[in-house]
Parts: sequence; structure tokens; C-alpha cells
Amino acid sequence: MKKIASSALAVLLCVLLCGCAGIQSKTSFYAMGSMVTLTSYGGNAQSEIESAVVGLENVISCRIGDSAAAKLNDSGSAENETLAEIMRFSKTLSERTGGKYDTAIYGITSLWDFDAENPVPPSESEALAAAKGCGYGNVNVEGDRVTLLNGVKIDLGSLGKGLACDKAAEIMKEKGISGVAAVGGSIGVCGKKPDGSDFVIGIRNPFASGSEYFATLSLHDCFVSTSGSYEKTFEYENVIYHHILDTSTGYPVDTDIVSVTVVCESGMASDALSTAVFCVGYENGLSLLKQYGAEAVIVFSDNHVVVTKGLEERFKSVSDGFEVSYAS
Amino acid sequence: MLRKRDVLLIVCALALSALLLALLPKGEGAYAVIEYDGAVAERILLAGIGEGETKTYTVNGVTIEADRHGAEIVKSPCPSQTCVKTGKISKPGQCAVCLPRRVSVTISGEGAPDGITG
Repeated sequence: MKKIASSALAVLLCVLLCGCAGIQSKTSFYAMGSMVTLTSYGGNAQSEIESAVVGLENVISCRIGDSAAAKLNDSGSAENETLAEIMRFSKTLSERTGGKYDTAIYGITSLWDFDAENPVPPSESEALAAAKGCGYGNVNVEGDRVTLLNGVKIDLGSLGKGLACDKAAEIMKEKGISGVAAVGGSIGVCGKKPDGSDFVIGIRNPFASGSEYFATLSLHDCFVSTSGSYEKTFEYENVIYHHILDTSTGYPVDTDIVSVTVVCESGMASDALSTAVFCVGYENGLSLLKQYGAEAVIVFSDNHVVVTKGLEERFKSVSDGFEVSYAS
Repeated sequence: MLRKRDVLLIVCALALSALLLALLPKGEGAYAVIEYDGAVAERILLAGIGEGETKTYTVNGVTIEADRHGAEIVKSPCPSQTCVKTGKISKPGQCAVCLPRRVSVTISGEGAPDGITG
């Protein structure tokens, strides 16, 4: 009897193990102003990830009244390990981009409401005045204390989703789960599929409506983020305005780049770098990517696509009409 | 030492596992999956909709139309109308989301990427 029971248990365990490793679990929830989608193999950690991402949002979102970031903006000083770590990273990136990438820009971003029913751009003089009052030079970080000077305020929208991917991936790794965590357009890729193949990430076609993708990247154990001028836009008096703002004018960045997809080992870096490369332009962007050991796919307004060498084997174009070249 | 009965047991277990995996649903064609706040509200087999026929669903105030070629958010009370502007989605992996109403429509099916960045 004992033997029969143990045999039955062995069969059951085997079935469960074989089955669970290959079964895909797909769940979603809303946080960080985005839909968060988790595709996982070998288990599901939604509740832990949801709790971590919502917890992060309550620290870094300056639009949540009692978040640590909002309190920092109100009081000008706060002691918070997460904020200090972010601002240290952000200040370095600002220095490396000559201030074209910056998170101390709430004065500018608060002038633009891309989610309004009938958005109206601020006047050029108003935006310029706001831009002059912003800048990372007014941010001090000592230990866990962040101090904002001269009334400057921070907006961490350019790296928050990537950082949320870092948190999600950390939990998935701890639990031995492989899969993909997508926070809006930022993605964390953990491990490989049960059959040993890479995960396939589509890159949105910046010229098409919807979430149509023009190319794919085969990836494992990395992070991907994209910034594009097509993401949040509005039209006012026959002019289209996008949401990536020039820190020197307070107006949308004027560039021939339409989207930048960055792949690297950190979610926060991938998110911030995608915005930074968009802001500094192609040549300076390539040099910046090298400093962070990051790779990228850059799409220009004339349908030209530049893929950095490290992604050559991983990139696959799935749509006609794009001219692809590779940068070293 | 493995006995004859142990070997038989292992073979049976592996065969049962293979059967289980083989029985998992796949290859039936594309679905439009409507979710509200992360929970599936409707799962529509697109090939099951007749040619020229349109099915309409309303979830948390958001109106979605589906035909055998795809699905589309056609009406929403949200201010930015980003979800409506997304237009029709038809390829596996494509998604339209109304963030304020927490309603999404995703085309699921074979060939969908594991995620889309952008």
C-alpha cells in the first residue's frame, strides 16, 4: 500500500514539475500610470511584484500627494535611500549629457498636461522662464539625504518605469521564475524560456497606430526601454507637440530621431538612457551608450534605423519600409 | 538499482507529462481578450465572428467592437482618448489600453512577442 502511494505521488510530482515549468502564466495590474503585465514560467509572483511596484510608486511619483518625492518637492529636503540612489544616478547622467537629460525639471513638466481633454501648450516665454529655474545643479545628495535648492523640484517620470522593472526582475530572480515584466513600454527580461530560447520583444512602430511593432529583439536577462516622440502627443493650432522636453527651452526636443530603444543591465538606466539619447542626438547618444555598456535601436524620421553592433544578432526586422544599418 | 517497476513508473510519468503538455490549448486562432483591472472580462475567438459581423462589448464604460479581423476601442469617457486613437488592433501581441478606466484589449495567439517596448 505504501509503495503504491509513493509511486502515485512520484508520478504526480513529475507531472506537476514538467507541466509547471512549461506553463505560461500571464497576469496584469495597474501601477506607475501604466498597465503592468507579467508573463512568467515556473511560478507567479504577481502579489509580491504588485506590492513592490506600488510601494515604489508611493516613493517616487511626485504626482502622489504624500509620496516621498512629493514631500521632497514641498519641503526641499528629505532622507530617503531610494530617492538618494536615484538622484545620484540621475545627476551623473545629467553631467554626462551637459544637462540635456535632467530629472530636476518639474517646473517644466508641470506646465504640460498631455492627458487633458483639450491640451494647450504653455507660451514659449513661460516655458523658457520655467526652464531657467530648473536643473540638476540645484540638487545635492549626501548619504541618504537629498536637498533641493532654489525652489527646484524633481520629476522622475523618465526613469520610474525602468526602476519598477528592476524591482519586478529582482523578485522573479529570487523566486526562480523566468519571464517578462512589462511596465508600460519598459521591460525586464528574466532568464530564458523553458525550452532554452530567448524571449522575443517587439519594438513599436513609431509610424503606425496602435502597438504594431516593426522589429523584434531576442533577449535574456536584461532590460529594455523605449522613448519616442509618438508616445504622448497633442495637436494645437496645426502643430504637434510631444512629451520629451528640451531642458533649455521647456518645449519638446526638436530632433530627427523618432524613437530610441535601449537595452542594458539595469531597468532604471535603460529607461533614463532612452530619454537621454533622444535628447542629446545620435552622435553624442552613441558615445553615451558606450559609457553605460548599453545597446540601442534608433529610429529616424526618414525610416532609417540604426542598430548598435551588440544587438546585430538579436535584431530582426519584421516590417517593410525601414532601412536598417549597424553602428559600431 | 532500478527495478523493472521503477523504470515503468518513470516511463509512465514522462508519458503523462507529455500528454498533459500536448493537451494544453494552442493553435486555435487569435483571440481578442478584454480585461478590466487585470481580470479577463471577455475572451473572443475572432475566427468565430461571421464575415461582415461586428460584436460590441461594454466594460467599465468603455465600448469595444470586435470583428473577425481584429478589435478596437471605439468609445471611452476618458479625457485624452488615447485608447480610441489607438485604432484597430489585429496582430497577436497588439494591445489597446484605456488607463483611466483600467480596460485593455489584447490580441492573443501564436506568434505574439513576449512583450512590446515603446
